Amino acid sequence: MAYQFILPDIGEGVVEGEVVRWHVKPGDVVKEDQTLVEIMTDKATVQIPSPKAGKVSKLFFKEGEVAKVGKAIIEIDTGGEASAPAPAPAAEKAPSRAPDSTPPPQRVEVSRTEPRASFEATSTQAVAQGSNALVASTGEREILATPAVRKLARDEGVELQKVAGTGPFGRITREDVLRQAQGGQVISFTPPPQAKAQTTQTEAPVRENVQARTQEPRREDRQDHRQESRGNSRDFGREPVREEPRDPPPPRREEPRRDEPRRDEMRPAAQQQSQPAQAQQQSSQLPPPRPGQETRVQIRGLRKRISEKMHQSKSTAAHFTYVDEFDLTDLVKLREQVNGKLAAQKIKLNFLPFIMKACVVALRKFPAINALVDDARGEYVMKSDINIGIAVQTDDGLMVPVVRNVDQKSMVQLQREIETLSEKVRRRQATQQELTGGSFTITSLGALGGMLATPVINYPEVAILGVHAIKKKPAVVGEQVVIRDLGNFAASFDHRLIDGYIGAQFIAEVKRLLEDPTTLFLEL
Amino acid sequence: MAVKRAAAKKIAKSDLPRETFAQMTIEMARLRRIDERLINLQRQGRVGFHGSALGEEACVIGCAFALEPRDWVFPALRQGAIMLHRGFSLETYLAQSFGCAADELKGRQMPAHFSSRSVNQVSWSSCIGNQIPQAVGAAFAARYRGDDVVCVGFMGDGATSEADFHYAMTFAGVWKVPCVLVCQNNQWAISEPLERQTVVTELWKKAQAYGVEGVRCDGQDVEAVHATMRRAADKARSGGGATFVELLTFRVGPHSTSDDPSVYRDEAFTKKWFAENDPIARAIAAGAIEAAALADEMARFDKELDRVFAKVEAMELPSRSTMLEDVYAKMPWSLREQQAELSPKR
Repeated sequence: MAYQFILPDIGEGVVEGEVVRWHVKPGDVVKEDQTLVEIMTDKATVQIPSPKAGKVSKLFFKEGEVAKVGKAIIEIDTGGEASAPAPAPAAEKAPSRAPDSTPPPQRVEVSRTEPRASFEATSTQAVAQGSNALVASTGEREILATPAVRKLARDEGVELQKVAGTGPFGRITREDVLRQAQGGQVISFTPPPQAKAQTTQTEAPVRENVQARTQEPRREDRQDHRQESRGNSRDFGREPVREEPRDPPPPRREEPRRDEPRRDEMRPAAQQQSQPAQAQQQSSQLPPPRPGQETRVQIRGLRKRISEKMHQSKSTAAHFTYVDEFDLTDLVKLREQVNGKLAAQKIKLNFLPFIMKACVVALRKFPAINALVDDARGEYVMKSDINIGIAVQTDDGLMVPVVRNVDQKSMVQLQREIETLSEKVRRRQATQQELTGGSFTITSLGALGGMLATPVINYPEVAILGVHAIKKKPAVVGEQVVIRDLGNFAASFDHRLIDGYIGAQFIAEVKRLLEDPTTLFLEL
Repeated sequence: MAVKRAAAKKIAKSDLPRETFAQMTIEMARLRRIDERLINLQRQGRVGFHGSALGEEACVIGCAFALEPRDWVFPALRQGAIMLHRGFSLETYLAQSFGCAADELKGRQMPAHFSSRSVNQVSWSSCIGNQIPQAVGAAFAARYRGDDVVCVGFMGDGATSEADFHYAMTFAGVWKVPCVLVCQNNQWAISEPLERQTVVTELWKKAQAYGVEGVRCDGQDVEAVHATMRRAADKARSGGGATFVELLTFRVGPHSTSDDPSVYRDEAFTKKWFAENDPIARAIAAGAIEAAALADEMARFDKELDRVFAKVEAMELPSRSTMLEDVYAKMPWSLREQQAELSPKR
C-alpha cells in the first residue's frame, strides 16, 4: 500500500519548510527511522526519519522547494495490501457551519502515523469533532457558550438549546442570550443615510478615500449563513433593505458584577449581524456604540490591505506636498465646447482625461517622476510607459485601477476606460492586471474636492497628484478682480528621490498646460 | 568554549555495589533510547515536542538512585526519567508525549512534561526556575509537618540568573530546610552560552552568598553524581539544611526539538566533547557492565519500546468530558450542565 508522509510541524508553530536535501530517491528501499530528508524551517534544519519501512515511490518536492506543513512530501510503498479505506477526513463531513476561514488541511491518506500531534492536525481534529457533534444523531445541537453566558442564560431564564449562536463555530454570545430573552427580537442598527455624491463641475468618477461615504455590506457567505440560521434570510446585495428594530435596543437589565468577564461586550449585537461586511467599512460607518460601550471590529479584507499599504507608504517614502492654485477658466470653456460636440456620441468628458494628458506631457519632461522605487534593492526605476493609476472609492474602500499607456490613447478612449475601470473595481471585478503596473497616480476628490488634502503616495511610486474642487472664485486678472474657475492641485512626492524644485517644476508644467489648454494640444 | 572536566570537585565515591552501578548504566542507556525514539517521532509529526537528556544521562540517573522513593522531585526539562526509576509505568509515561487516553495528565500538558503524584514527581512549567522556590517551600512544609522527606529542585544553568533562584536560595539558607537544589549545568541556556548569561560561571560559588553549601560535581560520572547527591540528601534528612549541587555537564543535543544548535555553536566541538565524555561509555569503561550485556539489554528494551509505542499511539485521545474534571472537588452546575451535554457523545 502506498503511504504518504505528511510534513509535520517540526518546530513549534512552523508552517512550512524548505527541502534542503533528499537522502533517498524513488526506488530506494528504506527502513523505519532511516533519514529521508533534511528540512529547513525558520527555526531549525532537521533530518526527518521515515515512519515506515518500504520502497520510495515518489518525491513530491525537489530540493530547494518549500513544502507546507500538512502536505505530503514523499510516498512510500509499504508493500502488502491496501488497508481498509481510510476514513474521510472528519473535517470534510463537518456541516457548513464550520467557518470557511479554517479549511481542513489536505489529507491524502489517514494512517496510524498521521501527524496528529502537530499543532495544525490537532486543532483541526478538535474542530472536526466539535462540528460533527453538531449533527449528532440525537438531533440535539451542541451548545457552545462561555461560563459567563451560561450564567446569564440561567439568570434570564433562557434555554440555551433554543438560542442560535452567532459567534465563531456557532458559539452563543451574550447578545444572543439577551435577544432571546427579549423574544428573539433582532437588534439592528440604522445606517446613516446614503450620502449621494453631488454632481459638480469636476464630475470626476473618482473619489478619494478621505471622503466619508455610506457603504453597504458586501455579500458574504458566512453572513448569509448566519442570517439563514435564524430563519431570517436576506439578500445582502449592494442595496440591502435593513430591518429596523421593532423596539429600540433595550437598556441593559442589570449591570453584570464587576468580577464577571465582560468580553462579549466587545462585540455588540449589530456587529455580530454583519461583522464580515462591517469589518470592511470605514469607522465612520459603524453604528454608534451603545452608551458605556465601544465598538470593535477586526481590520481585514481590503481595509487591511489599504491599512498596510498606507502604512508602508507613509513609513517609507519621505512625503512632501506641493500645492498650487490653477486658473482653469479656459479649460472649463473648452470642455463645454468639446462635450457639446460629443453629445451626439453620448459621451461626456470629465476633467480627468485633460489632467491625465497634461500629466503625460509633464511626465515626459520630468521622467524622474514617472518612476518607482525598489527599496529592497536600493534602486530607482524610471518607467518608459506612462501608466496612470486613478484612485477610486468603492464600497469596501479605496482602490487604484491603472490606465495603461495614457500617452497613446485619445481623450474619449481615456474617458471610456476610466468609466469602465471604475465600475469594475466598484463591482470588485477588476483583474490583478488592471490594479497593478502604475507609474504615477491621480486622486481626484471630486464633488467634495475641498481646498487642500495631502495625498499619500501609492508606494512604490514616487509621486501622486491630488485634484481639488474647481469653483468660481474671485481672481486678479491684470488690474481687475474677476470671476474665474479656480482649483487647487496638490501633489505629494517622495523627497528621497524627488527634490522640491523638481516637484514644483513638474506642477508648474501641469499648470501651464491646463491653464492654456491649446498648448496642451500642441505638445501632445 | 572549554568545559574543564578536571575542574569538577573530586568527590569520594561511595562503595557502590557493582549491580547498582550496572543498573544505573542500563537506566542511562534506556533514557537515551527513549529520547532518540521520541525525537524521531517528533520529526515524523507523531508527537509534538521533546527535550532530550542526551549526554546528561548521568545527572538524571545518578540523582534518581540517590533519592528515597518518598522524596519529592521538582523537575525541570530533563529529569522525567527519574519517574521510571521510581517504578512509574513506561506505558503511562510515554502516553504523556502522545496526550492519549492512558496519559495520567489527560493530554493537558505539553509533551515531555512528565509528572505523577504516584511517584512524588511534581508537575512543572516550561518557565525557567519556577520549580526551585516550590521545592524550598515544600521542604519547609515537610519539616513543619515532621515528614521525613527531602525535596529536590532541579534547574539548568540559565535558572541561576533568574529571580526565582534568588528567592529559593535565600529561603533555603534562612530556613535550613531539607532540600537539595540541583543545577544541571549543561553550559547552554538554549542559545546563550554560560559565560554570556552569568559572570560567575562556577555556579556552585553562588550558593555561598546565600549561606548555602555549594558543591560541584562531574556530571558525566554517574557514580560521582550519585555520591554527591546521596551526601546532600543525607545531610538534608538529618537536619543539616540545604545544599546547592552543580552537576557539570554539556548539552550535546539541541535544547529541544524546536532548536537547532548548529546556527549558534560549533558542533564539531560538541561531537568531540561527547566522544570523550559520554557518560555511558565512561560507566562501561569503569566496569559497570559489559558492553555486550548492555547491548542485549537494549535489544530487549527496544522490543519493549516498539510494543509500548504501538500501543499508546493507537489509543484514543482523552474523552472530551475530562476537560471539565479535576478543578473542583464538587462540580458546580455550570460544569455539570456541560458534562451532561458532552456525555452522550464521547
